[in-house]
Amino acid sequence: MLTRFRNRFAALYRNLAHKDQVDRDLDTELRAFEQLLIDEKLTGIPALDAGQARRAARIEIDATIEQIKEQVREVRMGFSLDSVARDVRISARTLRKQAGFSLTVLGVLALGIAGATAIFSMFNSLYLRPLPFPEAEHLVNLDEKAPQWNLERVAVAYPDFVAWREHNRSFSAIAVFRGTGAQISSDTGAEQVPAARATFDLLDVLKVQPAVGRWFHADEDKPNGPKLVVVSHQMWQRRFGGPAAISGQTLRIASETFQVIGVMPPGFDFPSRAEVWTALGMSAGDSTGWGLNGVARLRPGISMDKALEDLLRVHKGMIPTRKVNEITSPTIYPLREWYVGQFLPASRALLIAVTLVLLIACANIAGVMLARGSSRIREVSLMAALGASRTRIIRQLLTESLLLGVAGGVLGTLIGRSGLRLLLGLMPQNQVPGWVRFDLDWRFLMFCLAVSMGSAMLFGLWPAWSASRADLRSALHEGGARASGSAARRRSLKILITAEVALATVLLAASALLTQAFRKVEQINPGFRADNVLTYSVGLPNQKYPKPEQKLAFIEELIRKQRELPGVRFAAAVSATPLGGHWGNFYEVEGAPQKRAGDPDPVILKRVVTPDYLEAMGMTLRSGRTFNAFDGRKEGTEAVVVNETFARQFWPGQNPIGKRIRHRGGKIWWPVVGMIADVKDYGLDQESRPSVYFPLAQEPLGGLSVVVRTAARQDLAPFTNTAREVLKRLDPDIALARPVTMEQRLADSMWIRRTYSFLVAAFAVLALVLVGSGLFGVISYTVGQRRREIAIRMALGASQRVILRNVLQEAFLLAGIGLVLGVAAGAGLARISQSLRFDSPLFGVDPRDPATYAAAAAVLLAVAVSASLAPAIRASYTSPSSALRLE
Amino acid sequence: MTANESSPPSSEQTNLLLGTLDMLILQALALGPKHGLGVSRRIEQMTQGTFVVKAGSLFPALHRMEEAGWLAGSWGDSENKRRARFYQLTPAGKRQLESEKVQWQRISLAIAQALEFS
Repeated sequence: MLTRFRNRFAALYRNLAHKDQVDRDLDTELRAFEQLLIDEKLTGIPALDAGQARRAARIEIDATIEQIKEQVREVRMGFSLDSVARDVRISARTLRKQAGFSLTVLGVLALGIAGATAIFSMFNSLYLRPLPFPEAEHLVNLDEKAPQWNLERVAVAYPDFVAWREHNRSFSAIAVFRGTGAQISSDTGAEQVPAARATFDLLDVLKVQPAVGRWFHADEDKPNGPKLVVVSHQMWQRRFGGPAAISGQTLRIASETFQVIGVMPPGFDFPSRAEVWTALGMSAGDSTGWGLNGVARLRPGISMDKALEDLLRVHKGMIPTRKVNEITSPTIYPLREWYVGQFLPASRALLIAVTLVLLIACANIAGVMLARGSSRIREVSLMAALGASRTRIIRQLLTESLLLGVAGGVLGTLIGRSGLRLLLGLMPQNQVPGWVRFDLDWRFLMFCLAVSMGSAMLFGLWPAWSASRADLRSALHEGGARASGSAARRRSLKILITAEVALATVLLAASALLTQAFRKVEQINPGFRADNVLTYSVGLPNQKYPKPEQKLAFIEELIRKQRELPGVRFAAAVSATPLGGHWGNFYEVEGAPQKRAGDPDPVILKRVVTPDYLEAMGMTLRSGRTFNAFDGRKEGTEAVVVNETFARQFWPGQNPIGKRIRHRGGKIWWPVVGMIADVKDYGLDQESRPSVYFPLAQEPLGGLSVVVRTAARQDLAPFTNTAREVLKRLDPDIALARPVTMEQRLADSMWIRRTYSFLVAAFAVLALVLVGSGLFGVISYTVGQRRREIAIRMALGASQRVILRNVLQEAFLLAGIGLVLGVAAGAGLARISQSLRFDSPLFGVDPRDPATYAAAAAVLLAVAVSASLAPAIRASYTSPSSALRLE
Repeated sequence: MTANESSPPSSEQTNLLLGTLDMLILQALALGPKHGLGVSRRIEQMTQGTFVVKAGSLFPALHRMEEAGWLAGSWGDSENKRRARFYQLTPAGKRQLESEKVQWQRISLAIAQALEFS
């Protein structure tokens, strides 16, 4: 079958693509024929001379060579195109005649394909499409880890990077950058845009060049270097109106004037959404800690393992002059995994779910087609009697399936695309990098084509094969069809429906488990009260506010103004809100034994806050007190607040209040004045770290989030506008950045989990509907086939109840077998999911939880019973006398 | 499936019945590969001159059957060292010949019976 199709298309291709060659061959062949004929005449019994032989041959050929060639050409082309076109034409006519059947199949198929295409499109965009950089497969992300500090991602320290860059043998280029925001001033006020500070070699790594102008040179990337800036194409258009020349153009960033030296090409997006790039300008001796992202391009032929070995050698070689490298180690991730790796478990789960739905849909359609096959036996028999070969019949029937497959595929793809668009519209910003594109590409189209064709084969092949096998002679006799093929057909139908039930069981159980996990996570106490809390960020430019007192004074003034606004209960500032990022440090506890090298030394989360912060965020004070306005204001008034995890870790079973801590190696001891309940700073499903809160007066900072708790619910937009006015009056160069409510932040942190739990549940419901309709179809069909038997039984005295029970029993049996298979498959999948480290999506919910499977089974049985109730009742009303009428 | 329609049949030559040309070509190739003229001569020989297949019918049929996968064509040298295109039966062609034979026997029997029926 398949080889035949392949031959057909190969011939068609040959005829179309190598037309000249085919033509030349044909010419040679015909000339040879003529020559052979002449030879024959020359050596024939009445041997002719050359001229006579030629004439005789021409008479026998009876046409010119060109005429014959034309005929052959017609045949060749026509044969290839014609037979395909004829099959399609006949099939389309058949399908149109049976609109009900066709629409049912189309609907079921479109739903199955819609899910598959939507999820595949997402998967494709995240994981299959090449990154938008030349030879992106060589790009890697560099980072550092420190297991001893309980940190998988420390970020890169500049001195480490400098050594890596100088001594590595694995990378053709290596760079670091820091994603930040740039406050751009203009006449209308300051605006914060995403920005990056990068080393001069970033573009060497990415192999991209500015569209206009240039990037930084090495000697411009140093402390106090020239104030130069490269802008995005978009920024260039928006801000400068896109003039051709950039000389003399400037940008005011954080109260300083930068000269624009380059414009990146449109679509360049690295780091994600950055609009402005400035030189990192750090010195090799900089020891401010770890805060950089590394990106590098592997030399051709160098594996990631090799490169990591190389980096480790360099990194650990620094230990004599940089002791901390005993603890930290470099890490390498593929660029894609680094940026979108967090979606992988969810994407896999969804791909499996849509595959199951599609399989159920195909089984469903195969069932409908099988059942319909019985009504087509006569038609098929007629085709066979008229001389159609078996392959010809199968081909005709398969063409119908393919037509349905293509139509269902197109419809499903359209539905899937709008579904995906809906989903992406609901996606919070910054969940995926800006360079991830969700538009169509050839991979997606190939997938849609493959899925449509594959489904058509899947649901079409078996019914076509079974129909072509029908016993022709008996089929032509009136009523004979039922006697012969129907038992086998009923068996096939039962196998299909059992498989559907099994697949649906797996999907339903998986959905129930994920939903449970979601509920479990959702119910976790975040440690703060998210309702009625609005936040935004501000950054004070160092140039304008160089002294700590100036920073403190500005923030305190801003908080006071914010507090005075109507409806505000508390206003405060914090270095970073919960779910707003990690900032770690190390502290030592008074009287604690000296740590030995290699002891676990988990990093401690540090937050700097103004006095009302704990109240504004709605955190819970466990003992002691919160900060007051005097804490940390001058020497002798230092104070810190710790969380429960901190207290438990350092002073197990003791009261932390009054104990003292200090910077590791520091001089001043700070007394602990309060202990708060743990806050889920890294996400509801993540562990809390030991945390310390400092008063802002003790450690003034210039980059903070303002946190405002209102008495009643307030909308973000009007609040932000008011806050922007307040800020502008204090300093027009400072932008209000990232306004967001805490509720939104919390919801965003749950987005992936919520979305895939919901989607799997939606697919499970779809599966249930499909199984229900499938069962309804199968039971209706078998009841229809057994009408005569039922009538006879009733005539012999069987009651309606017996018949009803009988039919329901059959449905129960089918569903039961499917359920057992499904539960077994589910248990098998559970083992696989555990080995695939699927524990994070399940969040401690046992993938073999018996109650969940029992519930899934109950739901499926309920569906089975309700689906078969109508045909069962109909069967029980069969009139006994109809036994006489039916043939 | 056009047969020898382009030329009027001579008195002793009968127009090929629709569909029988294929069968005759397949049968002509049953014993081994042949070039176009060889096929034509073999059919004449098999039917004792009843059927003469003209080039205008033969070549379109050969090419159509090649496209259908029943015949495979290849270049070779003729008995008098002329380069010619040879055709041979593929497995599908052999199967086709068998099924056409069976069908033909059925039809001819039926027609013979019909004609004897009075």
